[in-house]
Amino acid sequence: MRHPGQSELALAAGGDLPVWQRWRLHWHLRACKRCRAEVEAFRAVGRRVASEGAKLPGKLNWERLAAEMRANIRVGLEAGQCVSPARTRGRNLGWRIAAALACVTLVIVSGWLFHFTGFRLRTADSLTPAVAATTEGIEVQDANGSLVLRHRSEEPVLLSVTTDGSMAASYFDDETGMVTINNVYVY
Amino acid sequence: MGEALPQILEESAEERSRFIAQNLQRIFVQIYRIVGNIDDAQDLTQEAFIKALQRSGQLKDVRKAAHWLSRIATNTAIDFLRRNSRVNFCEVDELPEALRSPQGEDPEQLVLRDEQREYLEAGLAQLTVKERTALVLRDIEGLPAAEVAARLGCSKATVRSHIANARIKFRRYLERRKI
Repeated sequence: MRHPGQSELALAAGGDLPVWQRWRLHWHLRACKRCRAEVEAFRAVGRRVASEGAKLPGKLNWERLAAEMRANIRVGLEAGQCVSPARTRGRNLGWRIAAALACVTLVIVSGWLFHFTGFRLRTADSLTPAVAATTEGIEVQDANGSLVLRHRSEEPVLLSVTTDGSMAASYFDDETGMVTINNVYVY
Repeated sequence: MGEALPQILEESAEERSRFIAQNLQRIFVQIYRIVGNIDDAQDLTQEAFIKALQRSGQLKDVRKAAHWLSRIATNTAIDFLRRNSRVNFCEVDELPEALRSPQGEDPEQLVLRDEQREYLEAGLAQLTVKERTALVLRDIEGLPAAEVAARLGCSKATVRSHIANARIKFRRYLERRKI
């Protein structure tokens, strides 16, 4: 009869074998008294380890050690609160969420004003004249009316704007075969 | 019962003290059996409690508080062993024919020297760190092999080898001492 190894028997004692190995060993143990005794010896070892293992080590003044540990834990927790106070962090988080929500609300309201209410920085009834690009050309507007300088091309037009209120349109003129640049200044 | 345990632990110093008192000895012994010396066990026990109490908000189920604390303690001890002993829990040691001590001392001398020590401590000292940790988690803590494997970060097969080697060595130790 071929006997299982010590490792297999040691694992069987604790019920740690995989299912198929357990099943195979089960049939062997039914027939083999010696291996049954081995498994029982390992079980006895396991019981002793389990029962003695939960006890405190010998020659230990537990009361003194426990008091020391309790004090150190308390100090550690207090130090931790100083370095990274969890409650303050929680409160700061509330402020951050409120600030983020306020910013998002501001952006949404501004977008709504600009896009859906027809609000413009420069309007036709403004007191100062202003330039604007239209599909036809560069339009000068003031309180009395508007004037459009048309592009003489179907080609794409390159527009540029300066901060002093002038606007330039560059395009390829079909009639002259040259690049034409229209500059419109508003004072 | 009014508030949940995590909130009480965060807010009440008295409850924190009670929680520590109820679990201190169990956690200390658990860590001591893994690391094998009192000074390290003391430091790691303190560390485990501080971690647990600082993260008590993460505890979802109050009934699992003891298990949750044990898990933090075990992980703290295992991390310590990885850091300081450079132990790779996923390597399997050969099982020696003769009983040997980790320090390379003569087993007979060690047995004699340990006459006055508790047999369990001397027996655990015969094991390698990997074997001792696996045996403590499996036979003392009563965790299933799959969970031991998860905690040590290696396969079930490897953990089974550690457990089997530990049981064989421990049995030989008891037989030699005729306990």
